[in-house]
Amino acid sequence: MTDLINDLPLPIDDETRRPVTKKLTAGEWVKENLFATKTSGVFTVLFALIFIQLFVFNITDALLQGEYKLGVVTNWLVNNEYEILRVNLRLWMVGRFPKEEVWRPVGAAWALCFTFSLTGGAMFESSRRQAIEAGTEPPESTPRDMLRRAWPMLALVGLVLILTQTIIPWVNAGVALGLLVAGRWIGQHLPEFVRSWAWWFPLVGLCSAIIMMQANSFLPLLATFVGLAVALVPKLLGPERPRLFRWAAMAGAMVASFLLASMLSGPLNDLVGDPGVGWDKWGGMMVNLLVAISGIVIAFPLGILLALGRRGSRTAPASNQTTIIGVICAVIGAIAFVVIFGTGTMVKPLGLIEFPFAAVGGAVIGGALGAALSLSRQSTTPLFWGLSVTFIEFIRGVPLITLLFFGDSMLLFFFPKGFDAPSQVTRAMIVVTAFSAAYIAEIVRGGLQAVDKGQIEAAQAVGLPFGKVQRLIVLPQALRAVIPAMVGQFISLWKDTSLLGFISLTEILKVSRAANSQPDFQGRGLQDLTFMFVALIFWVVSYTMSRESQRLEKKLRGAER
Amino acid sequence: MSVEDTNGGESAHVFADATQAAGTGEALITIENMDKFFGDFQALKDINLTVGLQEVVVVIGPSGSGKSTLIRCVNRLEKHDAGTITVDGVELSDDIKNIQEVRRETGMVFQSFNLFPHLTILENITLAPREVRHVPKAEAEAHAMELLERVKIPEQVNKYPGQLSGGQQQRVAIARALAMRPKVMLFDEPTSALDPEMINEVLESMLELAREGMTMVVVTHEMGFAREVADRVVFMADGEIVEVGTPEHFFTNPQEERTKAFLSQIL
Repeated sequence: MTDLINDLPLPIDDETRRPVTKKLTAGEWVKENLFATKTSGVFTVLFALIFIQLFVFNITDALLQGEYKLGVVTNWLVNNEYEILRVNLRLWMVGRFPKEEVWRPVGAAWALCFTFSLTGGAMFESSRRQAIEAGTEPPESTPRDMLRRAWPMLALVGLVLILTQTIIPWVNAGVALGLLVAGRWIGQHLPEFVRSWAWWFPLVGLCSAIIMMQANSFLPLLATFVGLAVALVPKLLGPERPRLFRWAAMAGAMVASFLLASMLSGPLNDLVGDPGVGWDKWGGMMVNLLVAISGIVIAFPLGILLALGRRGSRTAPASNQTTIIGVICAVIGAIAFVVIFGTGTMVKPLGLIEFPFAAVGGAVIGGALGAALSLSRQSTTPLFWGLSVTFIEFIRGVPLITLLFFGDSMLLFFFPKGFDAPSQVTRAMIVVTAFSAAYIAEIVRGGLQAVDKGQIEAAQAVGLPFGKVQRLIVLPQALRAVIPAMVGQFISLWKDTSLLGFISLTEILKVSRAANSQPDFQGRGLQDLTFMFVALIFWVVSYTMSRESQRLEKKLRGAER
Repeated sequence: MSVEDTNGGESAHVFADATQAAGTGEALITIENMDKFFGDFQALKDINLTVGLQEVVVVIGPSGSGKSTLIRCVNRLEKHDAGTITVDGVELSDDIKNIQEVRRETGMVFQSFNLFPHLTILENITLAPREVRHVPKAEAEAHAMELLERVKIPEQVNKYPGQLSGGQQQRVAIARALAMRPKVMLFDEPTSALDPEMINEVLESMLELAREGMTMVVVTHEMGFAREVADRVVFMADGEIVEVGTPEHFFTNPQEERTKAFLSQIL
């Protein structure tokens, strides 16, 4: 291919009439790239000096003080007291999480590692086979590629492991890595029937992770999960059944699953007898991750709904088709409730059967929302629109830190008396999720506006109902268009978790301040080291997200061309 | 004689033999006294038109005359404000059920193709049959291949729309509309956005479709196509149907002044 760096005329290969790349010697390369003009020569020397000053040899100190030292950064890295990181590492990672319970997050992480890489492997294999079948170039994934993608993460894990004092973290990390690799391999070698269901594995992983954290969230989870699985029943029943029958089957099965879970709740709760660790005990990097993930995963569908709600005012013909949105609402409502109230106050209406409140609450709220939306005709669309606009504009008009204080102190008043109030971490999650949803909604709305009106018309013209037009035609294109903005929002959300320290959660920035006020380390000027460590953690995750989003963009662009 | 060309405007002229629509003689689309407003602007005035089964009606007229709006009203991409539109016995109203029913029976081809850029050609074609008619995947794909053979681009099946030329995209759009096995096809200036050398390949596909007996309503500026394929030509100006007739009469012996003026400009 052509060498774009040089403006030199390129020799032409007479055989093919194509420009030939010229091989440069080292000397030529330096001349052409570093000293091509006087200006570039000056900058090259300047940057070389700065590099030397920072990493190799402290020139200024040598000249001014007559002291011979390593470069500024290198010197700082070599002559630092890493004891403060070593001693407080547990605090940074898991906060004040009880030591004997640390197996829970570790196990949860294993479950997630395995199921996610299982899905990753299965999806990769599917797309590879599809490409081969279509006669296009199959995607490649070598261990080298994986290493290139994961090196910042691996480096961070490596650094943490070096700082540990026991062997156990090494074993944990080793198992996690093994599970990642094994999951990938197994995923690629699953039979096709299983592979087509791979989307559900992470959900299984997530559920097992939650159960591992708190065994008694098993029941509400079971209810939701069975409900979700049952949502597939109409699909299995076949398309020839009338629509009403399919919806009825689904609704019936969901109700049945909730009832089942509720009836089993008493005996099973006794059986499990393991309260787990409440979320109020979460701390360290776990809490940053937890809040950020809920702010992304739960807020994402919520944001899409808000965006559709805000846009739906005049454009969308309200119809039975809104049922789809209604059902999505119901499912999200149920899941959100289970997540929030997973530890579960038990209620015993009429003294009959004991229900986990979460299952009932999720079913009632989700069902009501779903019903309202599915029944919505022209009249309720403005209602939904009004709610969306109010929510978005309120949240976006208030700084996150204000919302966090609000959630910390005032949110409690909204819960009924005698009710198991959600923990501080949960309240922070609610606030951050709401905050994130509002911003995501506006980003998605931008994407929705970018979709050509002709696309909607074409989709309507072939007879697709409203819900499917949105789901199959509009949203895929809209979301694709806003990946950079969306990932920017996710990255900023991840960094915003450092604000959680202000409502006295032990997130990582808070930990570094706490570490510096410990008697052993107080007044020893180790702030820079601890803050660098925290910065590194934030950077690694942000950078990985950024890189992955670029990869995704490239992949999708490659498909459309 | 159940098919009748009625055009309410007193000035409109109807050829004696133009009332005898081609096709089987059974009315598929009936538009009666239809009005359409955009705000205060009346885009369509008292439209009366009947399209018979297996008939090809070509709608021509200067830009802004309401041709596109007319056929967009037929599948309710635009809502009409007065009068009735009946497609295959279903009257269009605010009832979403009726609208969906009509849309299932009408295929539409747009000026700007409007293929779904995030789906492959095969997915573009099979999407609606699978999602709306619940046709099994294998069956939908077999039908899609058949249609691609018909528009002569089966080799493009796994590509994305962005990788195809304009003419190929428009032929895919025709295949996509046909995949729903519609009773009538609406063409909204299907060749206007194409480079000149690609117009013919699309017109050929349309011609073949007409020969197979598809009912078609075509808005176009391709007079050659109108002359060759149309059973009747409808001339519109200023939101009214000015003249309706067989191509032969229409091009050689137009009655209305506005028609004559228009034809003298383009021929």
